[in-house]
Amino acid sequence: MPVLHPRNLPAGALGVVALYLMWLAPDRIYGIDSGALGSGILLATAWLVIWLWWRVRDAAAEYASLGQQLAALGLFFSIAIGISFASRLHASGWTLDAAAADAWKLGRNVLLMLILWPISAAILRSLRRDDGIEDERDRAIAARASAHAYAVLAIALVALVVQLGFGGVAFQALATPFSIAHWLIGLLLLATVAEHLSATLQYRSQQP
Amino acid sequence: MSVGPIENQIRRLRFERGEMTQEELARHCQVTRQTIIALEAGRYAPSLELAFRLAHALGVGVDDVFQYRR
Repeated sequence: MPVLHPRNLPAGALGVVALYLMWLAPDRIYGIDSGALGSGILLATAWLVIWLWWRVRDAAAEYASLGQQLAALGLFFSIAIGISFASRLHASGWTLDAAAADAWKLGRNVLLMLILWPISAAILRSLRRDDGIEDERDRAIAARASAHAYAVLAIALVALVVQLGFGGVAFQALATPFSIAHWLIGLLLLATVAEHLSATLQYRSQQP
Repeated sequence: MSVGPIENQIRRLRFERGEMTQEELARHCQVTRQTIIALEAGRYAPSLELAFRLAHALGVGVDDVFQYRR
């Protein structure tokens, strides 16, 4: 069951519109808070995707195991959170003020997706409760993916520490405690993306 | 089908055991159907425990299911 099936296109288009409103659109469109509108559309898209999944759950089960579906779901949400995070940090010059509106918007977008992610995963598990076992292949893939994520996190952390130590006065001026906290959260997000990307690629490589 | 030097006869043995489906074999071995598909396609090498479970489900010895080719 390929992801690029015509039936998935409306949900994909809605998702793109929602993410555009959350990340790139001006703060207000026709007087409406674009972030809130994007969050609402993303919520509606999530329900649409779950409904479509429910309708084709047998075909989905033929194509991918529960572990593979959860890895793909994790990859989608971790990339969405990562882009949201990076775009807001980039827009504010890679530094944030605790009281700034950008920090609150970033927190709202990330929080919404952090809530949607486990809810979507729980619904997916309940849809597959009859055949939704995770076996030794899933565990082996998860273990390798965790190892890859650990390596990415270690390399990125060393790079940040080197940059903090030798980045010069201009970089150190950006490095307030609040900014460093956000950079460290960014590294965790990077490791999460690496973990789900690794798992998804491993599942793909084992398909005939 | 093979993963590196390990070949398996799972597909042939399934058909010799009354055309057992991948789903039935997966249920017997407590794995997902996608793991059976990956095994048959030679994309995944099972643990020793799963190898024994597969052999037991197919009613043969482990060396009838898996062969090591140097």
